[in-house]
Amino acid sequence: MSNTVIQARELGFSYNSREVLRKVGFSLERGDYLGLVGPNGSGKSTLLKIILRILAPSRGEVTLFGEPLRDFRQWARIGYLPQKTDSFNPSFPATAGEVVALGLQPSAGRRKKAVDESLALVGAGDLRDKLIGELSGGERQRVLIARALVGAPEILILDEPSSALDPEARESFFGLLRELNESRPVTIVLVTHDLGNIGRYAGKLLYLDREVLFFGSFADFCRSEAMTSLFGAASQHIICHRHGPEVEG
Amino acid sequence: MSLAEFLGFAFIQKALFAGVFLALACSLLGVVLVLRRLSLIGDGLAHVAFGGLAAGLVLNVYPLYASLPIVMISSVGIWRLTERARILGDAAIGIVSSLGIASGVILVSLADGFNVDLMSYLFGNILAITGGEAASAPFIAAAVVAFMTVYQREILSVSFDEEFARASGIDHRKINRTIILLAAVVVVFAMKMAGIMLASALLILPAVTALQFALGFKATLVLAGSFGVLAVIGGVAAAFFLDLPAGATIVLANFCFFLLARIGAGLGRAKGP
Repeated sequence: MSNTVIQARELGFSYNSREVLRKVGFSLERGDYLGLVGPNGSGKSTLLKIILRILAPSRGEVTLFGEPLRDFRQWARIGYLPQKTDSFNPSFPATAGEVVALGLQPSAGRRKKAVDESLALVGAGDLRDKLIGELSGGERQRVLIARALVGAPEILILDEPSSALDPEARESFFGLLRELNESRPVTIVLVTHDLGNIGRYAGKLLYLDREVLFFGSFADFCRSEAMTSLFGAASQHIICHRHGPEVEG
Repeated sequence: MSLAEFLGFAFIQKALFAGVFLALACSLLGVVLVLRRLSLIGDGLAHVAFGGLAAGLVLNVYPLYASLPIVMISSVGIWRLTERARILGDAAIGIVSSLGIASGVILVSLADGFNVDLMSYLFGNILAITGGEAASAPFIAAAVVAFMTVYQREILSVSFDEEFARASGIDHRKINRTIILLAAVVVVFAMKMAGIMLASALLILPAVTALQFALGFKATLVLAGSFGVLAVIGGVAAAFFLDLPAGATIVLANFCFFLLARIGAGLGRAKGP
């Protein structure tokens, strides 16, 4: 049985006749941890939305767990954290518990227990009965991470998940992701601008700038001459040094 | 006059029966519309209903039934403008409602001016509701309650974060389409209760009153439904005993609840946790 969980082939996407993605292709195996990086407007969020069938590509195709996207129905196997977590209506009448429960399929049993466990997992167990609008940015982010985790997904897709977290919460969050990735193992796709730190967490890297400029292991990224010419030797050294001396080329 | 005597009138019984069910439907749907920032859709669709009523009067079709399909089609039109033509929701409501009013005015002018029937729909009168209209009310309320119960997770998800809802495999188009079609039906019947000018208040006021209490989603729905129903009972009674227009009195009763909730929320905040 194939271990490929996400496969994108020759993806293209245009918005108002502007080409946002061009011939994007990559594949991830079960248990991979991918850092998706690139400058602003490089198409990272668009790529995620195509994988999640929120946007339809103008060319190419995506398969999830070997199934073409148009036929895929098992959305409970995927957890998602969108990018704009601060744009919600502050007076929205939903408790943190109600928001987390949105990540469960209607057929899921023991809902209350699952919600409580997921909130506890992200250190937000005491927030269950609080209104989502009353929470601070960091607390709200933790609740939304709990919503992404509550259904015990096999793939986690996170669009800049640490933006609202303080340094301590960020470390704890990335520790949790590493544990999920190693123990279950959950496949993780993490969009970030933090190229300097991504190597500490992700084993694979996809550098996107409308097209794939690099896709491979972090160690290969550090040895890549193409990346040296893109970032400059000094920047590449800083990125790879933070990852640890064993991967420096 | 005693309460028993008041309740003994057949027109009061019909008004309370229809009013309670319609208020429940309006209030529950109102919570979703307010949260989706579609509060003014009630106003827009009521304006469209004016065109439908005028068409009914000109064509000699019962006005309420003539306006129902027109308002439903228009509600889908608003939804399509926002979904497909990338026009913002309030602008789409503005386009469709002005089209409804303009069509109504032209139809009225072709029929040699306003007549009494059309004026009665402008301001509504629940005390004059017919047996057939009253009999429709529980079915409308049942449809709204069933939709809100069966699709509660989907409605909450789409209202809170549509992008996440879509990534969860929720058919957001089906949910949005159903919300807007139910709103169309509810507005047409609410028009009989409070008139074209005030129908949207029956959707908005109980919802924003319930939102003042800062509770969860289910609790907010229960509170909104309760305020809507109480306002109809109080409004009909006040209109009867004080000889006031029923629709406007129901709306003012709703506003009184809103005011009290605002004051209560203010006092609660001042007192602290």
